[in-house]
Amino acid sequence: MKGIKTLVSAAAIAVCLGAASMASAASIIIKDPDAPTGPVDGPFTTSAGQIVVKSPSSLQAPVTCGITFTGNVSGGIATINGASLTGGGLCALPVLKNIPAPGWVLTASSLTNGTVTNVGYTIASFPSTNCGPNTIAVTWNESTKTLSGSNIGLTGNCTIVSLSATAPKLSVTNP
Amino acid sequence: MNNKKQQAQALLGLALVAGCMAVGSQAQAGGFSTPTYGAPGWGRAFGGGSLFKNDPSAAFNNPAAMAFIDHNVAQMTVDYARIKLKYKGDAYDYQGNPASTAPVDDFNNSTPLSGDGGEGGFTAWLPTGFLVMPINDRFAFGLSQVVPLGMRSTWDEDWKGRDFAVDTKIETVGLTGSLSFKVNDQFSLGLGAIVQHSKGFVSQNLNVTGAAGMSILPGAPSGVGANLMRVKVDNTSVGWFTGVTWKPTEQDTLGLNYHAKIKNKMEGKYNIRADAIGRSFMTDTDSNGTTLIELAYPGLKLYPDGANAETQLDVPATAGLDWVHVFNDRLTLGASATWTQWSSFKDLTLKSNGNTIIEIPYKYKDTMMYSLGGDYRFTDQLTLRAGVAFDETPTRNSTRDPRIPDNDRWFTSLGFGYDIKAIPGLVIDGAYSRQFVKEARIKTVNQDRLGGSRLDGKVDAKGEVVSLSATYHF
Repeated sequence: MKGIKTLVSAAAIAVCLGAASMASAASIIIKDPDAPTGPVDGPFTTSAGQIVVKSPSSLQAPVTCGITFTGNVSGGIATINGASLTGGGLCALPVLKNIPAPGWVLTASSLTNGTVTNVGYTIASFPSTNCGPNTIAVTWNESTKTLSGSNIGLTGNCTIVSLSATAPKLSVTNP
Repeated sequence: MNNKKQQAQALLGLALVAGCMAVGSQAQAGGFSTPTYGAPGWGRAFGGGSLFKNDPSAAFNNPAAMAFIDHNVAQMTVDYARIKLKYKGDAYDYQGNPASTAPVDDFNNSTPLSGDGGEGGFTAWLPTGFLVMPINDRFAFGLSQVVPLGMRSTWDEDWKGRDFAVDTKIETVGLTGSLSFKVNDQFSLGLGAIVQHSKGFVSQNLNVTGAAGMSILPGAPSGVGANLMRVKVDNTSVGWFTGVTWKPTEQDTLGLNYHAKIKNKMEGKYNIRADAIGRSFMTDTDSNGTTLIELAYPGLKLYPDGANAETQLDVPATAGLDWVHVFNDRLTLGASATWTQWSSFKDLTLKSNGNTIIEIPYKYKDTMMYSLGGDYRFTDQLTLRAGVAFDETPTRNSTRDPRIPDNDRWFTSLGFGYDIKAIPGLVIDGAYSRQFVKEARIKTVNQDRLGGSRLDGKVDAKGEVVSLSATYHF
């Protein structure tokens, strides 16, 4: 009986530790400098974004494109429902997977780190590209409001050499 | 009876010329022009042009000289040409790496392109024919079949310079008619027209991934796969030529001839033996319907399954000054200077339905050819000939490529003529001509849209021509 109590206590501690860990995950919120008291949930748009990728269709040569994300923040999580690529050459060709639904889901694990799930894209031209979806690690810089990542591999022989996007209305906070 | 005999002889002469009306190839001179002489002319290395006595090649080279031919002459010539071209050197891709290739499905597995192209030259048979018929004391009429332009080079399909040239074949066959007018015993005029059919065939590899690397995909591997583009065009065009001949003394004949530039717009088709990448680049489109090739090179449209092709390849104008001096009844010498307006050939532009596919600058320069040669009548039946000529190249070091790897050359010739007494009026002439071509430096960078590769090497060329003529005087 004592043994069972001990086991239950240990389990309780473990649950509490887990809860503490969950509680330490950061939240993504809307923090509009023009409306500081506004709601923490809502739409966002990035600007001045750039992505450099290598893929089979580019013969593994790096392709640099401008990128703009649009999405929505809800419950501390940002979901990217729209993404557009700009620039010449191959930038017009990728078809992004999981956009607009279910979207690329951005979750902050700390004030400076996070993940984006469901990331992937295809290019039909030969050699064709079919990469992802994968979960990729990204970093956040609160002072510059910049989401970035580098040298991120995707299944299907793709590499996100670099990613940078500025989201002026987003903020990552501790709950 | 005599008239009938003359008609029969004339028909025989025409038949001799008609026998030459087959499409020939070329015995190369500067650029892609070819000498238009029978074996006697080859034996003299063209010295004195067509001013030697009773030379029916006057029918094209200087029609005024026909005025001093006093009976019908028909000449049929067959030239055998052997030109050797060897490339030695290196090739680099647009990133400066040694030229390489890789399979389309494993483009990281590249292997060097090590082949030097093999024997880039050729052997060919070239028929030429002339017929001159005096009409009366004043007028003479001439016919000829000549090959004013010709060039061929053939490199291996997988050689290191495949992005610059694989096959090049340019041929023109002209049929001419001319008339001379003897003003007096010292002076004559001549005028002629030529109808020529030109054919051109060129092929080379389109380095699609290199071209992409030069534009939208910097860093992309060069030389992946193979896309052999083949262009075949032809055209029929018309030109004119003229000449004057002056005999200031009994021993001297001077001649001036001019062959006008012939506009030559050649049309045909091209196709591309495209691999999967090449086909994808040429046919896959973005949401706006723009192909990858167009994304890389706006305005460029390529159709791997073929489309119309057109190019302008004019025949340059030439002017020649010839002089023949008869020293005695055995020795006659001739000298010539010929100017060719090669500067009219500025670039090789390939268009398709108004869309420029490629424009390769050549910027040829005008050239001179100087020649000296003569006849020595060794016996009543046997005439010996010799000659030497220097022929400037129109190519420039900066634009010379393996398609036409030309340079200055010397012709040295020996020849003979033999009267066949058993058949009155029949003369057999033979000549051997050896060409010594200055080493042609090939240091050129390809167009971006062709992959941006670079060649750094040289082509050693040499050639020989054996010429045999049957000339019938009737």
